[in-house]
Amino acid sequence: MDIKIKAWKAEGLRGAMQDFQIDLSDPLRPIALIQMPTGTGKTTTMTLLRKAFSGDPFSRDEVEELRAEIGPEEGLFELELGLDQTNCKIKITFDFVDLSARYNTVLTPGGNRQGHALPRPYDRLLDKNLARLFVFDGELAAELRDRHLTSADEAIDSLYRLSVLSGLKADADTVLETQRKQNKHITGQQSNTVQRRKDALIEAEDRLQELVEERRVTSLSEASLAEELNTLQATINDLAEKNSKIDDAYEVAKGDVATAAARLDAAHAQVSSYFPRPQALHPAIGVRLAHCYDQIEAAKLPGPSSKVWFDWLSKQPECVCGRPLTDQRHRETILENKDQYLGDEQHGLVNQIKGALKQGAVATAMATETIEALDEATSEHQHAKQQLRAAQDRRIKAAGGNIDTLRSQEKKIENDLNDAQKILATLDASDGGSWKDSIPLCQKEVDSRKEALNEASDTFKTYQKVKFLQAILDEVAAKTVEKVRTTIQDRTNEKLAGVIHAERLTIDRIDRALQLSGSSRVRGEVSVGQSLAVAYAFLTSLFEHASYRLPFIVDSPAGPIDVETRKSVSKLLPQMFPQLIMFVQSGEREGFVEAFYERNDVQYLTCWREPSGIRTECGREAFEAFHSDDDAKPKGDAT
Amino acid sequence: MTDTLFPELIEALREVLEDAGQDSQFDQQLTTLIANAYGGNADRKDVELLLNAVTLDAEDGH
Repeated sequence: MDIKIKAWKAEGLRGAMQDFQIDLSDPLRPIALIQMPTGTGKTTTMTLLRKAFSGDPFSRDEVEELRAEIGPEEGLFELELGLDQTNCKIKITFDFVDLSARYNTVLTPGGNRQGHALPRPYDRLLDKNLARLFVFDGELAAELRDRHLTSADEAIDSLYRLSVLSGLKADADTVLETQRKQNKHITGQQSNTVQRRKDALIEAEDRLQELVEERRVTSLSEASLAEELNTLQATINDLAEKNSKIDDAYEVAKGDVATAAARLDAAHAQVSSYFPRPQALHPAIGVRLAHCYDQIEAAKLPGPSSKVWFDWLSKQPECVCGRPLTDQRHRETILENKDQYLGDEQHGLVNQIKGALKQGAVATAMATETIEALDEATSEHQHAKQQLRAAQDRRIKAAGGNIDTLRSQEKKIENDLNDAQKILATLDASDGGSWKDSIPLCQKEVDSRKEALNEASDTFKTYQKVKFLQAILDEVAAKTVEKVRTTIQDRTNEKLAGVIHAERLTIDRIDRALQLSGSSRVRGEVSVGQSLAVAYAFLTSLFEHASYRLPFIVDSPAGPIDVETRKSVSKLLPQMFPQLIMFVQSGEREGFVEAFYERNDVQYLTCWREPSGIRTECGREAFEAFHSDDDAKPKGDAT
Repeated sequence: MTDTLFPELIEALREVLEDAGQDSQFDQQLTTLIANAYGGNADRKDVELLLNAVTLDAEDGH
């Protein structure tokens, strides 16, 4: 799938959008640098492009925003696209009398269609979330790293369209529901039972939804509290470090904490070394495993022969019993039945398990001293941390700081965090408690009520098949996300190494948001420029191997980026997108725009406002000569 | 057949199908269904056909 922007135009809209058009149809120049000073409608154009791609409806307020102060009762925005071999015009007509907007789609070939009606599969692909990625919204750069949001995961979901798998799950539910409705042979009494069970299922499903929502909200609150606590503790540490001449006990306490932490690590390692020999942890485990060994022996596992042996036998001139294997059917029978026996690998594995179980029976029990050492190291570590805390407090107090207020804030956050963690533990508990309080238990209740309903409505078998298929689709989706996250993380880090030279910046993991390496990163201390570079590296990695080619439209692509990084970004972006449309300011020339002057596939457009409307001029000469008064000079790398 | 799919999805699908214990007909049908769904050419009827191809174990339903 190849999607290209050929042109757009606006008529009868507010300000500079009264009469404005851009032509990008030259296939030899897929890169467009558009210089538009502030006030000529850049932000509005970006918003309208996103809407036109996704078909997202307009609110009355949004239409009102577009209305010209003195102007016609109707306005128009038209986006012309190339969807592979199809030409597509998406028209948005604004009615400023009743403040509404309506979409119209013209396909060549294909004709006129009411509404936002892209042909398949483009209609499935181009949604609001995806449009925000490739008609790049600057705010997204910060959101991608915000752990309270899920923008990075949503970006992956959008581009890799994992909603397709959810759609198949929903289709399976519809098949079941249809079959349930079509079952006409159930009696009146059965019908009452069906209704009762249906109500019971709805009750459990509603509760499940509430619990999932509660988990989402609490989890966000937990992340936010944890971050708040980190920041506050970092502030306290910084205050204590600042007043280094006040109290020597602080340095001693810091050393004690480090020593105690090392001892605790060693004690943990000692206990962990017993994990591969669980029998050593407790005698009861040894008894259970010995029983397991006896069971394997009683079942005569792994059996005397492996299927490789039957392969060998099928090729011999005679059987082991001495009879000649002359009949081809006998050989085929041996081969057909070989699968009843374990393969070499499984055979070996079962033998390994047996060997380990036998050896384990004589494993030495973990010494009591090992546990005692762990307890002692834990207490010592706790004590050292308390001493350090007291020393910190003394230092800050001596310097006139209000440590009591800080500690009381810390206590409150810790309590709130603790409460949130307790709620999450209850919500995630898979045993004990009521199904109304825990997601896994409530899910079980929903499943059990579904089974009851399907038994009553005679669709039990279909229900089981649906459940099976949905479980497979869930598993495929989860594994895919995991694999895509790893791939994207590796690619993003490769790109970051090439883009940001001044400092090593890497993504540790993608979990809802992009989590950068280093403790300072946890506190969000990256500059606006770095943030933008991370977003570019991430997005280009996402788009790089997608099965469709999309344009990339960006406003002020290099504004806050330092000159050195600009050069790398100017090389990265054209490699990754088949079409690149950038709204630039003259302040972005140094390091960024000037890098494009060496290329011959760039179209230069300069727009400025005149009393009669917006004037647009093509060509590099006008582009280089133009310098708007409101253009910012190259910005530093602001944090 | 899997032109519309990306490598990570194909690999995940292969791994899941290996453990699913279904016959090759089901594996093929599911792969085609997902590929068609990604290409925008699958509907409920295709899902219904796939459900018919699911083999359930008599005892535990899987």
